[in-house]
Order: sequence, then structure tokens, then C-alpha cells
Amino acid sequence: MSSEFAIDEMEVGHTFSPLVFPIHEELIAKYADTVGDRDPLHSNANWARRAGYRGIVAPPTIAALYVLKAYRTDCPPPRGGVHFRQRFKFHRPIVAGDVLTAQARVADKYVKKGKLFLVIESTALNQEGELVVWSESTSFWLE
Amino acid sequence: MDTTPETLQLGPIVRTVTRDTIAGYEEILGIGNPLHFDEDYARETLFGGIIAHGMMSLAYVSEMMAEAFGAGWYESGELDTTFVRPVRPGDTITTWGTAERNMGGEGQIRMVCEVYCENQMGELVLKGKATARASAPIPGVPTLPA
Repeated sequence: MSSEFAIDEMEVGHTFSPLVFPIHEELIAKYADTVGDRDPLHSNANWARRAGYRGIVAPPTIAALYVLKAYRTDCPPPRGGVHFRQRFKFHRPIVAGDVLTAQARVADKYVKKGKLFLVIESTALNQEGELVVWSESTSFWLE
Repeated sequence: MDTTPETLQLGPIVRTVTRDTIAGYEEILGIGNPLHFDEDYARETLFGGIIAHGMMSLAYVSEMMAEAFGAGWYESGELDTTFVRPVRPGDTITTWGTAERNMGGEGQIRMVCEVYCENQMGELVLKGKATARASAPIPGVPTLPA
């Protein structure tokens, strides 16, 4: 499988093409439903407005959907990645209607016990250019 | 006046992960990792079968933090978690934690939390640290009936 593994040729510091990721009410509802989060902030716009938000608020871990895609914009990693460690810093609520731009870079790369580990750092900005999320994902590959 | 408690118990949130939940997460994530949907592939790996996305357990942790700290989590939450064991279809995951008050820089009070997810055998599947600003509830925000 290493033939399709272009990531292993990428240097630490390589920056991937940005990923534009619109956040819709339907996406928030589907995500919240999938993870079982029933807070009405994620489904009821009136409730969210009364709580002081512009609209329906996404669970901040919806970031998973774009940070894991943000390092697949240039080439697909090999099959069978195992997510090992995840760090997040949430800076602003993500609200339905936001359009996020996520960008990932290779923060570190090493081999341990014969497995390739990749540390991918990514940030997401909203349509105002404000930092919304910082993320660091560490994964290793089985193949 | 500062009424932030010194310590807090967080959770528990109890969720059962099924093949359907894993398939649902895989569908919405859409990156096609066979560990999460291809039983034949997954059986041949060190996991011996399909496993759930680590990010799903992490979602439970975040839900617990949002429930406890509201806007303080959305606007200043920090999380560092390690996925220590796989979650398999049929597992019941209990998410819980402890929080301790900590006076951070610039006079901001933060709650420093140890967070855990464990399976029905009492084995840890996720462990980590999370911190959030200890924000007062936004005035006029309705609270949910229990």
C-alpha cells in the first residue's frame, strides 16, 4: 500500500491546500444525532438565539469532519489509519451559516515500532477570518 | 462575586455504540477508512474487527464539557486526549470526569479537568485533560428541565 502513500514523502512543514467547509443546519443536526447529543442548542434556532448565539450552534467536535479531511486535500493517505491522540482548542462557537476554511500542515513525522506516525496540525478560520479551532491529530498507519 | 466551586464531578454520559452509529459516523465523515466499515479488512488487523472512530468518544467528552461549562467550553475549551483502547460495536461507553478550579493567567478562572471514557468492562478507552473558562451562565438563558 505504500505506493499510494504520498504523505510519507512530505516534509515536516508541508502545508496542504485549504479546505472550504460550509456549516449547515442539516449537517449540525445530522452530526449531533449521530453522536447522540440532544442539547437543543444544536437543533432549535430560537433556543440558540435566546441563549445569545446567531443561530444553531454546532457541537465543537464537528471539527472532526473537516480537520481529518484537511490533510487529504492533495493526496489520499493509505488505508487503515489509526487515530491515536487528538488535541483541540476551541476559540469561537461554530454557528449554522458559517463557512470555515481549514488548513493542515505536517507538524511532525516519525517511525516508532515500525509504524509511521504523523502529527497533523490544522486551523480553521470562519468567513470573517477569525480563528475558530486549532487542532492537532496524531495517527499511525497499520500498513 | 466568584462562586466557582473548587471541584466538580462531570458526567456521566452513557452511550451504546452500535454498528449503525459507527456506519452513521463513517457516512458523515466520508473519508472511507475501512477499519470503520469493512469487516473483512478489519478482521485481519491487530484490532480483529471493526472499531469506532476515536472522534466519537471525543464527542461525548465535549458534550459533557459543554453541559458543565457552556460558553466557556465553546469559546475557550482545550482538550488533549489519547485513544487508549478501541471501541467496538455493542460497547457501552461511560464518559465522566473531575474538574478542579485553577486561577490561570490574567485573573481568568479555569476549570482543569481529567476526562475519561470507559467501556462496560471498566476498561479505559479514552483518557485526557480538558480545560475551560469557568463562565457564568449567560443571563436570561433558559435552563433545561431535568
